[in-house]
Amino acid sequence: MSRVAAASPPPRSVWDSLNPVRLLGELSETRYWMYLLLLPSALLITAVVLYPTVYGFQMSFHEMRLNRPALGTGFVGLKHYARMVSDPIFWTSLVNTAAWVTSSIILEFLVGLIAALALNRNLPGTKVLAVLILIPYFLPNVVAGHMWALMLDPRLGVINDVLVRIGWLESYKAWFADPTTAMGAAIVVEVWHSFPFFTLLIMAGLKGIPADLYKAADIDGAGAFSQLRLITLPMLKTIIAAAVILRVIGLVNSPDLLLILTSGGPGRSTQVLSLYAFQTAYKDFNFGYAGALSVVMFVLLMGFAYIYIRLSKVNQD
Amino acid sequence: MADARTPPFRLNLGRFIVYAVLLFAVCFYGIPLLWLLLAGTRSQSSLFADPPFSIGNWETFLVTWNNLTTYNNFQIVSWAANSAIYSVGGVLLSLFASIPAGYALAASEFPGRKLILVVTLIAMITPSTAVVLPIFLEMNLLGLNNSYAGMILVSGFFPFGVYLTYVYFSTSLPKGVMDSARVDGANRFELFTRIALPLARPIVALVAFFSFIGIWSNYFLAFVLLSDDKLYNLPVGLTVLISTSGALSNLPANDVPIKKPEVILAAILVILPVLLIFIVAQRFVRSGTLSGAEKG
Repeated sequence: MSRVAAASPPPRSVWDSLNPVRLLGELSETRYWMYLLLLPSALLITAVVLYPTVYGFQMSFHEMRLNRPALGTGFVGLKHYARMVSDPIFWTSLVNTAAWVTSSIILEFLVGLIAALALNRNLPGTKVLAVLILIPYFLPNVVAGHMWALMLDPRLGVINDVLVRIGWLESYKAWFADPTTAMGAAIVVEVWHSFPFFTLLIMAGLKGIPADLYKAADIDGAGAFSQLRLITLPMLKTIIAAAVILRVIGLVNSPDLLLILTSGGPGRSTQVLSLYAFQTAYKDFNFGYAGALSVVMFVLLMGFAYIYIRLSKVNQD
Repeated sequence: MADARTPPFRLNLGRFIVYAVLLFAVCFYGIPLLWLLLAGTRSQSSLFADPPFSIGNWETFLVTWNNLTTYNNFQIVSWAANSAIYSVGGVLLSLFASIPAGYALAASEFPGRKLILVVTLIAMITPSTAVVLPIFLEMNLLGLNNSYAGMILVSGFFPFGVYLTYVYFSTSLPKGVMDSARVDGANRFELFTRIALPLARPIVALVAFFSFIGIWSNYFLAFVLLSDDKLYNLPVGLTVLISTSGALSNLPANDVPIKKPEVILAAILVILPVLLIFIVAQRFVRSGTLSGAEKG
């Protein structure tokens, strides 16, 4: 009895062969291991991005009006896209989107660059200031939006109070109720909320510029401004491009702030594409047309995404 | 602190400009926040009558607090609990998906690796508004609309985490140690759990931080996916509170105890966890994002 036991390998109990650590250990020696590690992420990406994207494309070629089920969900070909071409609200939204994105990004970049250059000087106090400046970037959109709505309030807004005191305004102004100022006011809120993103990335880029370049420029007698123009900005080219593209995608994408501040009004003065698609779906319940609007946005943004992927180094290593 | 990498501008005038710029930035940011925090302690009438930066008193604050928390049978408390459940669930799910995937992409070559990297990058920048309608219909199909599971599933999606982990492991995996562990008979599962995971602590913290901030602040997805007011998270709840009470629209007086001070206090509740976590975590967040950005 004992002789047999000694000769054969220790018996595997049922529990032992079900032991997950052991099972994973054995599985890890097969060629499926890397795919197993990727599985949770792949499932999530499929559920939250791949499947919905395909579904969205399909939606845009079908009739889909949740409030008029009698119309059915048949294939309608390019009907929604044809409607878009002659839809004045679509064109207004497109123009507004361009204005909203371009002016926000230009201002965010300028403010972000100046703040990054200042913080990069490592003077006493800049460490604390860097933390303070980053805080708003992490504030929820909803809070930033409501807070500014309150501060620009026509009756008790701090901003109105300050502007009247220093004489820039005659009386309190309802910034978001006037079609000529609503977009501008929304842009101020957006710049306030997001310029630290540029600061963060530009500060990272500044750390990578060799100090010798500046020393050489000093010897050649280049002033601060030409150093900025000839050394700093060219060296930061890639990082600035990446930051701009990521912000374009973020801005085109997220209607949160405008939804809270103006809902696209007054009139159509702050209507942007993402907001229009959202309202088409949840106010008019026209999912087909909303799907088509989303597809147009998706295609526009993928153009930017393509540039981003070319810039990032994934393709090179 | 002027080290070898002193940036441009050497004049004293430069120094003056730097501080002027920073002072302006701090005002631009600090004043709105300060105003918000102070306003939380003041009464409705004080908000209209007193100077913008006056401080209220403790009694007013307690009354406001009481009005807010007891309103509609402690509604805001359950919204806060929902926010906590979505955030914790979502963060755990995003870690469970990101860390192994990032490790797999960094640790070895295998067929399809490059494709998966590109898909991850695309997923990172896919327009969320373009997919939000299909996600809504998909969740309907799965019966997950208006459920904790559905919100956690969507919140746990965080391809940026995969990318950060990939960047981190590409530079920090000790290839020598791993090779000799391999010679000593460790299997590849043990390489992952005994060598990579203990090293991963900083990246786990960074991914958890970013995904927490994203989920806690998420308004749009929650707004679309949740229609049952018992399941709202705080950002959606705050907006609903504001629109149903009319607190910010200067409507004529009504019986709802939710006025401006209550709304402001609710807004402070939404930002407080984010602020606290950011202040605790800012050191590694800055260095972490920086190293990620330099490589990206």
